[in-house]
Amino acid sequence: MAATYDKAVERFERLMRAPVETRVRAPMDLARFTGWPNSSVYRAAAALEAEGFLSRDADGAFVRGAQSLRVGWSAQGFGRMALLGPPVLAAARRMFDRSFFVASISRRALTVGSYCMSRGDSDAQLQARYELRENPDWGGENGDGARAARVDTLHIDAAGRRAFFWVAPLAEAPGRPARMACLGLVPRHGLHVRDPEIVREVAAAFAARLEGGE
Amino acid sequence: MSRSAADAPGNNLQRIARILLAFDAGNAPLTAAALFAAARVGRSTGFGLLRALGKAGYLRRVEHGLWQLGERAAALAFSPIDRRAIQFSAREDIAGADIAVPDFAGQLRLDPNLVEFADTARFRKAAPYRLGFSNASVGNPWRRAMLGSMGYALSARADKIARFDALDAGDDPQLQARQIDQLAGAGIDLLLVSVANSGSAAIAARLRHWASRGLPIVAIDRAPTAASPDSATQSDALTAFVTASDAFIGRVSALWLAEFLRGRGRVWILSGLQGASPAVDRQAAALGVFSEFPGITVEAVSYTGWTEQGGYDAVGDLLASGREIPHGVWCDSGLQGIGSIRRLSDAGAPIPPHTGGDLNAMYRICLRRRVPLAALDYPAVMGARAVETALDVLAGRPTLKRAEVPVKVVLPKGMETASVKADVFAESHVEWDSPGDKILSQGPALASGFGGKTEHGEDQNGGDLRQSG
Repeated sequence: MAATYDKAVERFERLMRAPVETRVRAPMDLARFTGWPNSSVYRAAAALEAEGFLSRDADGAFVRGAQSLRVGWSAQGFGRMALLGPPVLAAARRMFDRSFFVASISRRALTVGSYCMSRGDSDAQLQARYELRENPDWGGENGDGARAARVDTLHIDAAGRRAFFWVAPLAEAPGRPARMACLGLVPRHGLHVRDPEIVREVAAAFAARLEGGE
Repeated sequence: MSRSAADAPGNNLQRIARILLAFDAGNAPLTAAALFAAARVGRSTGFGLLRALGKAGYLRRVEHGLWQLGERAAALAFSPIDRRAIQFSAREDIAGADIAVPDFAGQLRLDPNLVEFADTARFRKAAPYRLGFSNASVGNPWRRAMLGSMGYALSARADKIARFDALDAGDDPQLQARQIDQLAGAGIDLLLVSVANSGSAAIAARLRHWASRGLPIVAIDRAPTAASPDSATQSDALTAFVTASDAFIGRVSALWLAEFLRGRGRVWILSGLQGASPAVDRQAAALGVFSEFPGITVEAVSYTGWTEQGGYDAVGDLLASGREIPHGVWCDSGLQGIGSIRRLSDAGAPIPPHTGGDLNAMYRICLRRRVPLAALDYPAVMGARAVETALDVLAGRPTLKRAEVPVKVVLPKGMETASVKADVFAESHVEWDSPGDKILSQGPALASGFGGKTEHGEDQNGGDLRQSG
């Protein structure tokens, strides 16, 4: 029986990966992605849609549902981020025409949650997780409460080359290892001197909500 | 339940989902027994699932036999908030590049209402639920699409819904006030409402009455707030409001028209239904933008009831009054925009630039006849979002007081302006093989069983729609 449950978890994993790895307009696209028969894909997708883990957008395409985001952020100790992230990111993109994400940092791992790409960055790809080249001097185990209005760069390896994000801390979750929620901005080529200011402004808009509600 | 049914793939996937959903926002540890109860499984199946989830990293065992969400579960938060279709830059010689565009940055500040949480803990109860929907009307294709989207969500979550009753008020506020009493008095667990007139004192009073008696109320599309600019205030009676940014729709479409006309010209405004909050908010935002362009004259403001005939008649009246063909027609939706284009076409007049999306026919006619167009589809998929919000409220989960569904800017190629860029081009958005009255932002929807009857006051489902588990 153990194999049955392992297989169920594998199926769950595969279905949940589909909307972020490919465009899934219909259960048939899911069948192509998973390699499963249409009938079982249909039942499996319906089961996850019923629980809010999969949802359909205005074009009818499958996306990760609200409950998927909620579980993802709850696992990081910031359940409210699932609701706060999307509207804040959409408004921020509208205001600045830049690409933003919300993420958490624990030790030297950056786990990305919701993100929105602006038109100028739409060919850029974000990953679900990055290893940081060094610990930021705020957050994680170094968080000391003096992080208000801090903006920093996080250096990462992306697609085999060095890159960085602008980030601002939002809130710290209790527990060990400490985990910090943050807002990130994807830099564009060239010098954009306002980037730190933009990150600071957007972060300030909802950090208080996040701190107060956990 | 038979053994084969219990072991069906869908069942185990739902059990996995329910186990993961059992944890709170702070990931407080839970006992195995609590997780078995959440997943509605016995010990044998439960331990099998916990072990498999633990092995894959979705759960981790902490001291004293307690479980928490694990690192693998954290990856479930990774998701784009939308998909943007366009991956190349605009031309440089675009309209509006040579005129002074007012600075609207101040109007794009983060709206604090977007991060306001509803208090839902007091509404928590066990599924299945009985929902009622007091619907303003099913009088145009958008409203039927929204109802179809709602129907899809109800169908997808059938095991959580014991019964769904919907009543159509035919855009009559007095009738809707009575229907609210009829639905709420029948013992529903939550009321969904889309109001016929945002300023109706009768509707507001009934909603306040039922809210004071502990009934959660989720508004969709049209909120019961009189003369509030977009998201400013929200009726205290509402637990949550599912909508899209009407101010964004009004502002961006007006900015496009002003820039496309290079800051000069006469504009007619064709709004939807007088008194309905989307019409009020979009028009206010558009007028605010036009007032910033000294060369733009708003020559007429008409209401159309968001129907093709309404748009046709409004333009007909303006032409009959002896006015010249305008340089641009601002419509808050293509529902009436299509009527405007048909009336101008019948008059043998050149078709000026229009705004207003939603309707497949609007895209088709503008693309075929090369009418400059800026469209921001008001997402009918908010019907599904409202059902999801209703279920979250009744489950006692955190919910935003104001949930906005994203709106895309749709422009034909070559129609971008200095400030307004397309999220998606009309050429790839239009559905040439679909009916003209299809609403393109409704997501998947049930084609039948919802909104079949349009007579005022009749049950929209042709009887009670039972969503049995």
